[in-house]
Amino acid sequence: MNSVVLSQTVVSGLLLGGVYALVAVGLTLIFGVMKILNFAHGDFLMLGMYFAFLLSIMFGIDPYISAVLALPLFFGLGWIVQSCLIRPVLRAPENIQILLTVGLSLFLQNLALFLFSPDFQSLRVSYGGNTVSIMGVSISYVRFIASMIAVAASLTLYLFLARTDLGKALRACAEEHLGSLAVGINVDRMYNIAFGLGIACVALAGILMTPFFYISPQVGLPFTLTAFVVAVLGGLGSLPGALIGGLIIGLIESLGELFLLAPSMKQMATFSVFLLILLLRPRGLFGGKLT
Amino acid sequence: MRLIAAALFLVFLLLLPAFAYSDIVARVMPRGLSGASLLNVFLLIFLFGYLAQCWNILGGFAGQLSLGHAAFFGIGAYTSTLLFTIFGLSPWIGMILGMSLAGLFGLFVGFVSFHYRLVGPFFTLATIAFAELVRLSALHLKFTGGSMGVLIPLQGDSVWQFQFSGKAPYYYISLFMLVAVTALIWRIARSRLGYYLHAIRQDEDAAEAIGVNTRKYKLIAATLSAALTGAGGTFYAQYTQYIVPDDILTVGLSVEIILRAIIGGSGTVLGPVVGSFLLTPIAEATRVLFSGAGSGAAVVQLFASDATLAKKLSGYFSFLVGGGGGGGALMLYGLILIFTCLVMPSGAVPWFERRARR
Repeated sequence: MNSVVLSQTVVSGLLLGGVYALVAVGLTLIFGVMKILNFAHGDFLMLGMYFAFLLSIMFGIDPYISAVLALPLFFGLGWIVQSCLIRPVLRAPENIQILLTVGLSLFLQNLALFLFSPDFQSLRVSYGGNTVSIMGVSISYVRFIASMIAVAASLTLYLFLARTDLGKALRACAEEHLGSLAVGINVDRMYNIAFGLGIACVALAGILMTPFFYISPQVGLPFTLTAFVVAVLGGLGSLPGALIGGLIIGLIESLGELFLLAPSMKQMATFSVFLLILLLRPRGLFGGKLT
Repeated sequence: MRLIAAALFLVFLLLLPAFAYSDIVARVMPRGLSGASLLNVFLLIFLFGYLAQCWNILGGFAGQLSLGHAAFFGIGAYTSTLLFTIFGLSPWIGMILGMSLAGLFGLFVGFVSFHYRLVGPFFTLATIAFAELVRLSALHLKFTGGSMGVLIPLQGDSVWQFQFSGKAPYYYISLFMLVAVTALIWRIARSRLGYYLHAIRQDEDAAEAIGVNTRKYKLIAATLSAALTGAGGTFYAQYTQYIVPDDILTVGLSVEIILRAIIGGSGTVLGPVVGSFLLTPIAEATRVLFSGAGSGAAVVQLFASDATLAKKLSGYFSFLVGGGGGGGALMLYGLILIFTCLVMPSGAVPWFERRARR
């Protein structure tokens, strides 16, 4: 095996990992603030993909412009979902919370199936095949851009939480629910914001992937699980953890594809890694604080 | 009073195959809902009631929310089917072996998860991951037939081979399974095991503190629940005579199983049965009404075409009225599950009981 193939694999793994990180950042933010695990997380990624796809085939809008349009839209969607569906079960038994998001996942998945049929779709852009070559490693344009925007978005979110007053209030809710209420933070509103931000993140990740990834109603479940893997590896509720976890999992996946016998075994490797992490490192590599 | 009503209902179910094919039923019931298809609906009610009841032991009584029961179901189905197609072993014996294998797998999943103290959503995630591993193995291993699945060769009417040409024998077997598992759960609910499981569900730490060996009883629940689910898998394989991983090993099937239990009331003796009677007919009706075989390519073409917006929308509307791309039934399931969580999280049976007491 020559070094070019290896470095090629490492680079594409890291690029993929950047996108995974953004997916997991959304999940981990929601968990960190609200202590809710969103089993419908990947389905919002799927919705983001269809959003970009529809705008593209109907109006010829470029996915990167759709991404900008999607941010406020999906933030609003997340806000509504949290205030109408999640909020009533916040004090319910844990199992009810899980079942509610499972129900949401089932609904969204089959809504997409109903609206768009199970056929795989793809969004073609004119620059989709372009590559740039650095030191013998050729990098696909769209993958590179997706990864860069994803990492930039995660870092922006990190800075937002670390530096702004609103971010501080969100962190306060994450750490001390009663205390935040006592000092006059509108916790309900913080929850809406956290859920909205989380959904906007995952939808953005989905849209960034549309130029190089297939679109189907069922595309969400693997991403839900990947997001869980990444978030658990990085420590649930930790943003930097999700970022590093994303890069690690992206790397493991692409190296696994290179070294494992069949590409079909890749998914098995992912699930096995997931189980190992879940069992052996439930608190993650870095513990679990938002920033 | 209640007992008499239940007994009468059971007699009605026992006699149903005798008059399902009669002219009166054909005239009274909606078209396409008499004879074999009527029996089929009831059979599915029994089967899903049975499966929901099996899940109820672990997910309801012990409060451990498994989303991986499709794996136990699939192990039961594949074990008996492969033993039959390869060695010609009777599926009845295959059923027992399938139950043992499914039970062992349940024990394994439970042991690993409980040993590493996975609770709440983390246990749920682990069950999903284990089940997905089983599905992927069935897809990629040689002897399971891969994504094409396994076809059970027809051998004609034979009790020993678990094959019948009519629906009535399957109907009675599934009815028997449902009644038997409900009786078992009724026994468990009034036994030491039942009380321990109840304590674990309420507050595991507290149960541990007063001396309940929580891990042991959770393991018993996991093993029992998995083994019984495996028997359901064998029954399903014999009934449909054809099994594919993407039908019987998916998270979707696990959700379908637990839906019945949740809607009826998980952790109650009759909840899953009531849930199945409520949900299965709705599900079957939607499946028929919204079969949905529209193609996505046509939709894309429509929207990318030069037609006017009004024309595009009306074309799309007729696509949706025809059932869209499918998924109508499962979409409804999702809504029902969300609705149940919001409005009556403890399920229909406890809800009605509270109403009745007032």
